[in-house]
Amino acid sequence: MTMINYAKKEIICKIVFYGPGLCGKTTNLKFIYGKIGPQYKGKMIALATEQERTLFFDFLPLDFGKIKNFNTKFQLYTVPGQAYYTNSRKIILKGADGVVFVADSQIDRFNENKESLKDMAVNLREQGLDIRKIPLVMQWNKRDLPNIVSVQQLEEVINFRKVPSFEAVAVKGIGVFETLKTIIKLVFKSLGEDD
Amino acid sequence: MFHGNKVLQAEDLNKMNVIIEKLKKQAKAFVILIVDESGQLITNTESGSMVDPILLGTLTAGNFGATTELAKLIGEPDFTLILHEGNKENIHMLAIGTYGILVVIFDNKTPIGLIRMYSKKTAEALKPILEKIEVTKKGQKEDLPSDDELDDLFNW
Amino acid sequence: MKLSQLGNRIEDIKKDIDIFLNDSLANCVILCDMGGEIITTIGDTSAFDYTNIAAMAAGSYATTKGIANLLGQKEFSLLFHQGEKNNILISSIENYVIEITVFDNNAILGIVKQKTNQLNQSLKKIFEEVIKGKGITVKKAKIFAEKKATENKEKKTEKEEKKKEAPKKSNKDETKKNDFDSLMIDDLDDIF
Repeated sequence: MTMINYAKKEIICKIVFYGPGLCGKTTNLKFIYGKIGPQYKGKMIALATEQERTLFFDFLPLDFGKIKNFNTKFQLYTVPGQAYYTNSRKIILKGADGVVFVADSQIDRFNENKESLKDMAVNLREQGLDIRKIPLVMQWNKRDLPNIVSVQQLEEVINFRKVPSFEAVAVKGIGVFETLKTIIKLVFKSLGEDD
Repeated sequence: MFHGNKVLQAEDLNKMNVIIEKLKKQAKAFVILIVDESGQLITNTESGSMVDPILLGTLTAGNFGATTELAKLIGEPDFTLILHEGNKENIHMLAIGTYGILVVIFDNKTPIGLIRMYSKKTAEALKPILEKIEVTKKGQKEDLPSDDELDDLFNW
Repeated sequence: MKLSQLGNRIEDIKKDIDIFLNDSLANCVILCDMGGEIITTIGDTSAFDYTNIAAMAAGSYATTKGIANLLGQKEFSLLFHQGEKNNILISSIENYVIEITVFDNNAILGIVKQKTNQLNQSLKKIFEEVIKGKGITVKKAKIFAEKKATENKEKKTEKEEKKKEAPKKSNKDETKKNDFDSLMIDDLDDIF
């Protein structure tokens, strides 16, 4: 849900990072939080277990200041990846303006990417959103690890919509900002269009 | 359930602020928020403290979402009362139709029965305003930045 | 706290909860860790999808803990949700576990609350014994904390020291808690 507040001259959009457990969603947010200038960010919330697993969501508000008379704000969320948190994922997708799907490039995680994508389609639908239409960017994470599938294979199987995609090593920040910039552009583009 | 976008005009915002400020006085509440189920803060009363209303909005909306799911899981379409009791402050949450959530944070000076009653009345008063600000059409193109303007922005 | 850490003490826990269910007329109790993973269920859970209930309760608890931090309060001790027929009471036992009680209108809220407090006291004792006996470090749910909240806690510790009522050991525990609640955001600044 986009909120356009004429009283405060604000546009606020919600972007959700989705993907299987341990694929690097939180790592993306942490990197953005760590690198982005203090004038652009608010406080980050991480609802996680002591083992650093997200148990509900992470939240990072970004404020890009004035563009065309409007303060432009983005709220980044992650979902918990583990299978039994599917209800939590559904809640977090509520009102999403755009989604980043973070896939784990490792060979033995390939099927989990597929399952997570399916899970995302179902959960989006439950919120009245369409995986075929919502602004979407894909990120092929962990490209620095040894046993990984080829980008071509990820493109063929996971990137069913042929949306913009980026190779990434989120722990080192590689591909993180490219992903963020692209989803922001796509969200803005969709705002100018009618449903 | 489809959640439309919200376009807030100053006039509507002022109306809502008057309504929740009144509730704040009646309930002797610490702070009152109207949040969207997606986690966005629509408006809030001045808490006169350092509490960050955006974070509070996100957390209360998340909490409301989890609670609503819990209700479904135990075979209740909705919880009629959501109450979190703390040592000092308590949180009371009430859905305003499907348009938003009314969150009241109050201390033990006010009985919960009164909070419920005032909240209900307030939600009814807020409902038509929230209904009105929900739109299917999105932003005006002229208000939105171009790709070039965005590139300028991304000078991180 | 995980089931594997409890060993045969799980039987004592079940016994205590059985007594609680008898006294309170509640339908069932679900115990899970702070992340929402089931430890055990007692009573009639056949009608419920308790795996999902536990996951949602953990989310609900984590968010209220976050709100409490924002408000400079320790936690919201009791989360109560009232429905038409079924009600839920969620509480945490010292961050060892989350306890979820489902009860219908045959039970009386006041009594369920009172008995829950009693039950939590006796379960707390068991968890503490388990930890002492095995030297387990408890894995609590990590929730971001506001600086303000941490400062408040520190002030409290100072006060306690002034009073000199609390023995030194408990002050140590308090400091430990502060460490645990350390601001995640600050951690991040260090990392990058």
